Amino acid sequence: MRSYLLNRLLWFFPVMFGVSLVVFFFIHLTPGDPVLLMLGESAQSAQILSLRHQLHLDLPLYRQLILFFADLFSGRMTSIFFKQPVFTVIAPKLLATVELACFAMIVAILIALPIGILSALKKNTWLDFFARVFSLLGVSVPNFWLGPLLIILFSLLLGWLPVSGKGGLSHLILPGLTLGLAMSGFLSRMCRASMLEVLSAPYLETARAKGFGEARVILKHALRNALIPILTVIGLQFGALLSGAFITETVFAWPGIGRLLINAIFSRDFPLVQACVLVIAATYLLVNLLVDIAYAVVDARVRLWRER
Amino acid sequence: MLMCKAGIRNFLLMIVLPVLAACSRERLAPRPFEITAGIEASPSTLDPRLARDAYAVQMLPLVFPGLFEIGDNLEPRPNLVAEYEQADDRTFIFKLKPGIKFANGKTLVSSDVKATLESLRLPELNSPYSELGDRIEGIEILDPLTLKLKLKEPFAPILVMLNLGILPAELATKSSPLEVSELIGAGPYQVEAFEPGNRVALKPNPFYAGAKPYFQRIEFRIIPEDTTRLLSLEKGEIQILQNPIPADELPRLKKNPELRLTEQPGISYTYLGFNFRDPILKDLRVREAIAHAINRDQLIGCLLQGSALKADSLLSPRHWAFEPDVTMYDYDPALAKKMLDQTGLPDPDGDGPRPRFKLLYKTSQNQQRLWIAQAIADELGKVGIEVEVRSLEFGTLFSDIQAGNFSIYTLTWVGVVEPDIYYNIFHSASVPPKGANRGRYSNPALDQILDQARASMSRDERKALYAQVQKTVSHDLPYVSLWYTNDLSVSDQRLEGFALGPGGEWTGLAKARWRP
Repeated sequence: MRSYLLNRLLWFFPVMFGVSLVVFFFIHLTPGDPVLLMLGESAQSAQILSLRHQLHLDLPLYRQLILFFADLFSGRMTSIFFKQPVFTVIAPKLLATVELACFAMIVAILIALPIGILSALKKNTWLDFFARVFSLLGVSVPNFWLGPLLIILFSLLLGWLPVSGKGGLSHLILPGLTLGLAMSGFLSRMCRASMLEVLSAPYLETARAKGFGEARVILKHALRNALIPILTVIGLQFGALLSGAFITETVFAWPGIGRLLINAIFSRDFPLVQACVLVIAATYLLVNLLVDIAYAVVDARVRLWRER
Repeated sequence: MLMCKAGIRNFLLMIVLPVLAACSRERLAPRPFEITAGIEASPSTLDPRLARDAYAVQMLPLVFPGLFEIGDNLEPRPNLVAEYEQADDRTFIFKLKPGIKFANGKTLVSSDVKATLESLRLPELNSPYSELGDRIEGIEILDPLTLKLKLKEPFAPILVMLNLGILPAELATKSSPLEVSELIGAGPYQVEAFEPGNRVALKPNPFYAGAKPYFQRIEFRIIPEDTTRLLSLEKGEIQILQNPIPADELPRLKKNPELRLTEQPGISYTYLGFNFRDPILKDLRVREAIAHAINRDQLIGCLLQGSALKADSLLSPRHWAFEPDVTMYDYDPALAKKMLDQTGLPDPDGDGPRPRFKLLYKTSQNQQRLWIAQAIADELGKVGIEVEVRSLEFGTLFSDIQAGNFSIYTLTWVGVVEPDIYYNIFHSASVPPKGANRGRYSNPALDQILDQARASMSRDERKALYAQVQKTVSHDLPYVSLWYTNDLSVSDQRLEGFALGPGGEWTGLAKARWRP
């Protein structure tokens, strides 16, 4: 297990290096000059040259790349637009996104697992039918539609929750529900399929024969074995959420990393784009690592195979 | 992603808001002595030496007053300056108002002004206002409240440029952007918090020399989506917002008894720009025909709900240098067709599908801009000009038009105050990257007038020169003037005493209050 984790951790560095290279070259391929966007068209030539020099944009690409890594490791990378160190700009946005993603994931799990389990247990009944319709809606309803509907219901008609912004728990509920409901559709479907697979397994009969109650059979023996594909999906979805839910963040004016990244791209803030992508990639890798660890925790076969 | 954003707006405008109109609940009451405004995007920085974006420029006068401010007829008028005299074409003597205090309790004196203006030249700072610093030959402190400013050469726009916020000398000498705790000005407010992309909070400057403001806290909340901003206003989470407000929402907002919509003629000028490198558009008769083919009244009525004023010049009618006697291009498609026929560009098949020629129209991905482009393309189609509308992300659009990679495009000059803007956009020396003459228009006679106008320190002479400029430009037609968008603000109807500044500045909040 330890060597497996070490192996995964060692992969982290070449992957991050690859991501850095890709983002560095791609951002330089985009049309638009950050210097002119920042200084405007009334800027004087000397000033344009000076800022270009300050941002290393007057150097050959390979030297820009070297300086990019130097700035990255020394913490000197500064946002062109905000004129602050990039990680100072990113940190509060990342925290806001993590907060939203965790809440949305909890919502999704709390909705999807019971629905998925019930749907599998009551296969081909009206309950299963409604669960499948729910899954279908969850997958198909776009966030830019669901978000405003929730605003209308909970903020304007009932007056229970705020329309937008970041504050206490009340501000988190609507964007969290929007993301969570959308994810729960896919997750409940996955849970149903996975449960159906294990429900016919002989070891469940063995458990029943030993006299275990049905609840224990389902929750301990069936669900635990059905969890691996569900965990994979949770990991992927959580990683995607951490890369920022731009649309939901925009609808609810949630100051997350998705909005920051998109705005940085629009303003051609190269250092901020690069830093955002690196932070998102690192977070994604971390989540994947945690999912791998979770596999080993829930499934002894994985643990033992890896220890062999 | 942008398509999704446009989708959000379309969906909200078409379905959600009409539903809301029928069933919205009571608004939240505003907190006493506090007000929250909704703004579209985040200021980049609040350091007055660096802030250039509209969001910062509109809120900074609350914190950092300048030597001058812009008056109602868009002329500079003294602000921190009590009186001034012009010793010669290059020299000004400014006498500061006594007793002005910064938010740290320190009195504002000549050395603060000198340090702030000199800091614009700091190479490490890379201020977008470095031109102002570069135009100054020297600043001499005559006494703590008097200073002499000498220019390198006569430059009339200097007083407008001196609306730059003044910092205490010890902070102005810093060559890096100021921290939030260092954002100390002499205005009625000081910065309490700045969270980029989220909010800006202001609190009163305890040492402010003028009338104490009513609001003890002003918060600007960044809400990027138009519709969410409106919903937040209708719920009462924010109490005021200003442009941009979707034009199609105006009739509904006007009917809401809890809100007050204020509309005033604006100074933001929307135009259709031509590329003079295009062999067809180089012909004045083609440009004239295009101008006659566009029904601006209809566009304003339908797409902008009447919240704009038809334009014939870059300077708005409220501008001190506005010239009404310019060439007008009324809507006359028959005349447009006739003019195109005369230029040797006949319609090959009359009302048939084949066009006289084809143009590439570049515009941004803003939904309203796209509608405008499609409407103009449709009108040009009626006179036999085929237009391909290409909607681009703003950075790409900006890059393309700077490179001259377009036939026609639409953009807006926001807050046109100083008539020297003509130099930047029509002088032959202003072709990008040295200016904004994106269409590569050139008229040596106009260049000469523009050179003269920026060097003349006499208001009357400048007015006469800019009248000539406006006439020449309306004749040569590098732009088709479309309209001036009205300045709109929507607020809780309990707000009284608020007026938008001429450039959309929020300074009116310092004089506003909740009705008891």
